[in-house]
Amino acid sequence: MSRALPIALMACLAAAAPARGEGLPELPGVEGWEGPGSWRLSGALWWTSAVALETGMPLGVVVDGYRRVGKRPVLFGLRLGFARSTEAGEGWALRHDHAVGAAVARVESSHGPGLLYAQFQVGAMAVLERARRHQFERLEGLGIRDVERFAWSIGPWAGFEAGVSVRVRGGLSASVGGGPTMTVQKVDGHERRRWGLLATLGVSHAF
Amino acid sequence: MKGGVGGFWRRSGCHMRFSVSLLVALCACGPGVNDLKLEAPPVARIRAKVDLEGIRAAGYDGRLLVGLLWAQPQAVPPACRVYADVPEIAAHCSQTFAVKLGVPPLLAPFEPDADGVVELVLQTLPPAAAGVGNARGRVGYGSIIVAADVDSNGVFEPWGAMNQTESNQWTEPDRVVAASFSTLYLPQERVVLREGAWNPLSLFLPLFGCEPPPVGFSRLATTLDLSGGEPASECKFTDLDSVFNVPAISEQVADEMRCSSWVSVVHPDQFHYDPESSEGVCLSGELFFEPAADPCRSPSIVPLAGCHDGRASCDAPDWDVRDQAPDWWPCG
Repeated sequence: MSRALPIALMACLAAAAPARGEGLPELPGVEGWEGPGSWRLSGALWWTSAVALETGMPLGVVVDGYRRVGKRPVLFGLRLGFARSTEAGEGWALRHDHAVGAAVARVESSHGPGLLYAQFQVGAMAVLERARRHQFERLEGLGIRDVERFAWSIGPWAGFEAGVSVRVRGGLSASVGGGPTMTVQKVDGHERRRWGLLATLGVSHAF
Repeated sequence: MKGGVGGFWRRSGCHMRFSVSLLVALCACGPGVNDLKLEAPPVARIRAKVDLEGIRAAGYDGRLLVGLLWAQPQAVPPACRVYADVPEIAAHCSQTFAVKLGVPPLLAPFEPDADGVVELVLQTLPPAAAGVGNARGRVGYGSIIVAADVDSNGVFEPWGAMNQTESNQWTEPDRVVAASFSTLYLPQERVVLREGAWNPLSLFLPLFGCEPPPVGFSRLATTLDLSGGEPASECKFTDLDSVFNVPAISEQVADEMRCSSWVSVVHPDQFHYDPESSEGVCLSGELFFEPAADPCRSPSIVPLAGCHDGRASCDAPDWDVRDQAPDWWPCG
């Protein structure tokens, strides 16, 4: 996470500059744009804090679908995300797959070709673990048992995300965002509340 | 933005707080995942009974270290092939049959139980380089060794260590005092690790007269008799539940394990002969052999007609000074 956050912040600043009207490119259809349409579909690369592997940063993809409700700049939707992290300890190589499903409430504000947004998401996260002993193939070839284990944990997940989106062409825009997350998971035999950060970098299409 | 955002948050603040409270109250379910502290069960356990009386009888009564040494493949010096029919040289070349220390293994303090049995726990397999073979088939041989921790620092230093606090003097080396498998010439109990296929033609610490070892870890007890023309031995493979016997070894065998077995072939003009200090012997009128004063140094073979060091055969000599032997030449 330590590397992802500065990158995300820099990208956020870089993307926010055109939104303030400095050196804006002349994009067709930009003038008079009042925000996206009723539906929104977005996909992004997703970095988030690891639940159990403290030194492993999960990287994956997230897909969002929103629908604008009424004339307010408020959208409700669904977020599905998947991210993977791998780390090796003294005896095992651990792979954790993080799957998130969450309901999203989002508000946004249009500024020329740019759009600022903030969204709150609440749902559940599942962490699927595959643990393999180091020298797995050799140990398996020798018939030694207990060289691969699987485990899982499901718990509530919530996150806040703020970001900026810049219209590129038609209903297509590029976006970058980030914010804090929280989940409760069973780790190492104990229930643990884990705070973290997430960052997204992706595209969305309004129609 | 067309207003309403602040109002939306104000109105929905109650719902948000409720959602967060609910979320915090919810619990995780499932067996739970692990972090990097996850412990792994041992790959193997080895139990050994050490000949403490033999070690004491040999004169060492200090602190001991114990561990598992995986034997490294050894190159036979080419000179041992060239001069295989010369008994004095062949006697030195027999050191190539010792289990060499190579990279010194990590040893642990010797802490036996009430029965004098010590347990070694293997958490991982040895590195692939510790044996011979490839991904399809590999074999490695381990020896349980006990070393005298001469300077009681808990570290096995078979060649000593630089003592930087005392004028950069080298400390006295730690010596192996007992080993379950020290050389092919002595009765031995090996830890055998076979992975995959077995090559019956393998000459890596060969198992004369034995059946192929089983796949996995096993204990091989064998008594090797090289006194006859053909090597003969009795082999018995068992699993690792059997207790290994670790007999005391002599200082000579310990040196064979510690030192290189190299033998140098030297041109007469490049050999420095000191008649007062030399302990060399004439093996023939054309062949001079200078044993090394230090057991860890290579002896020298000085032939009047010979080949450069490293050649495994010498049908056509690289030099021939038989007609003009140097003045110092002692063999006549």
